[in-house]
Amino acid sequence: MSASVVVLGGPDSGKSNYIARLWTALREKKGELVEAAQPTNLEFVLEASEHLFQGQFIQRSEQTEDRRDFEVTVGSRSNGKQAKIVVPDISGELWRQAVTDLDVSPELLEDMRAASGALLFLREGSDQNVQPLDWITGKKYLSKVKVTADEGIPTQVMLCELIRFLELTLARRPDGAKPRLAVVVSAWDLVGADVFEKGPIAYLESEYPMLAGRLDDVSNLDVQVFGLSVVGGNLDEEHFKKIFLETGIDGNGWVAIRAADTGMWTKDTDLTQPVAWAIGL
Amino acid sequence: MTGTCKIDGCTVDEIGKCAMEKDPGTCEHRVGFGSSTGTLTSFPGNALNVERADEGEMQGQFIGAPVLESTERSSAFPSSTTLGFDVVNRLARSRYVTGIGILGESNSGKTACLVSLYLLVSNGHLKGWTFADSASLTGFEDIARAARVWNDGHPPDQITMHTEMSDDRQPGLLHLRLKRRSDGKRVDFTLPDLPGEWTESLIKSSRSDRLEFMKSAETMWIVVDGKALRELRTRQGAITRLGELLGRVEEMTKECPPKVLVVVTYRDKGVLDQSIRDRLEAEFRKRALSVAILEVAPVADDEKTCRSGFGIEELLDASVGVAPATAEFWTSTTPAPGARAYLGYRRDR
Repeated sequence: MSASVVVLGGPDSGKSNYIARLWTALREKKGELVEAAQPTNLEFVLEASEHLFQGQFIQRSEQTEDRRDFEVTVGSRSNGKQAKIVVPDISGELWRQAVTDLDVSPELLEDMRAASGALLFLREGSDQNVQPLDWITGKKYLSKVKVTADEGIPTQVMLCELIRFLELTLARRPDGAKPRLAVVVSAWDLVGADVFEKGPIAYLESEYPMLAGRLDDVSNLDVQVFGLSVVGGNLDEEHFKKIFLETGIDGNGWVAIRAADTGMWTKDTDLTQPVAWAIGL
Repeated sequence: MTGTCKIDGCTVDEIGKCAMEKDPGTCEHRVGFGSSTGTLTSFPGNALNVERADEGEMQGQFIGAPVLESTERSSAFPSSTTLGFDVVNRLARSRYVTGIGILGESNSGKTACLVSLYLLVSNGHLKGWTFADSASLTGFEDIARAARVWNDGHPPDQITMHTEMSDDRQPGLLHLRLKRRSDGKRVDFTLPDLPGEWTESLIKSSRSDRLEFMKSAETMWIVVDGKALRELRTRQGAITRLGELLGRVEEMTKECPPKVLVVVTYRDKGVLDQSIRDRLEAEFRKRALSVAILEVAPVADDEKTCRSGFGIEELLDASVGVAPATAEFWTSTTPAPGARAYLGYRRDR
């Protein structure tokens, strides 16, 4: 069986860091998904994860190409099923451009049509996030005063449009069920304990009301929201970075998942969870 | 003979050069060129011959080029600017759509009302509603950022049937799906984004053909410039034109009259005087329409009097009606001590 997921998100939303960390998590073989065979081409993930190995996040500017694919055969630890998955790392600028132009390359369009799962990223605290138009700027536009710093399309509008693209393209799952969309809020370790407790859905309702409303209204996609911390802390903090470098990448990092029985948001060290859910082996 | 030459094996079509080192533009063996074709020499005059020679030269440049130009690939995804009737009809086939008609003269504040509604929704500032979906997100963004304007001095004449990518602002419908917090009901609104000139020509010359679609609107917002109503010099004119507009609306919708909401802008300049309200209501009484006045401040200059977006939520509520009061499913019937409830059961009937 082969499966592919589409990884979407604006610039600096945490896509590359997650793909690099996903590979290391698959290698560790402690999560729901494990690496069933060594990938043929390791160049991209090796290069990407080298940043994390050295205690640095992959910066947006370090991405040199529009698209790089990570292909690996994974197996499910719960049922033993295997699938060859393709996880393309597509630059956030390209997705932003896709929303403006309403277009993607024919190859990417084909990939989107072939996939029945997707991961949509946004990052807490990114300086690339564009806030919705406020009243002060809105007034300026209405009174035809020139607005000098137009930041462009707001992040929540861009993400709503990307969801619309997914609704139009994603294929049904092999069992006929709806395609799956995992919404991943990265850098979730940066939020306070109270925000963590309320969970990423409540966070989206407060910070990205249109995106939260849209996710609540989506009828032809199965949606699940995750919080993500690829290494479990902030590598810009020297103390954390030192401990991280001493202990190594394995075991560091977690995914915030809502427990089905209690409804509480808890940290799960299995970083393969968002992809495992999206491909649903 | 091969392609455009009488000589077999001519290489011009393939490599663009003649193997016999002749100029393809003037070669006598070329089909349609040169003196031997007879077509050129039959016309007198040097000028024409020069023109033909130029044409031949020009065609010579395209020799070997593809016969047909490749077709332009259309965008992968449909746009989400203002919607044409085809999209709205498709939407209405799948779910109930609440159509709202918006009329108002130029600069009355129609666009400001739409922008204000969008800003309230996108910042999560509506108390009773949350955003659910919109098929025209880019359309809302465009008008909020004044990214597209009506053709300068030449507003478009009709709603485009199909969404087009253009630098101009296209008249059309905006879609907004909102979820009511009180009962979880989702309501699909369509709101027209039209030039004020259309309302003006409806008042002046009864031109209603391009506003036909408003006949199906459940609620009609008639946006009135609150400044003009408050200003003594412009008050009478504004009231008279509103009265005439109501007359046109009455005539246009006589089969199924909508609920009409007269939306008075500039609420931040203060509450509308009772005397003005009385004069407005006198105009309403002349028409067989159900009309109510709502005061709004889409964008407030003076935030102390009222905040930007004032009245927009009430406008939305008034357009769809309030949620029904939730009936208590199982009312409490705990008997009061000493009431002898068992003996008194149904005695009152």
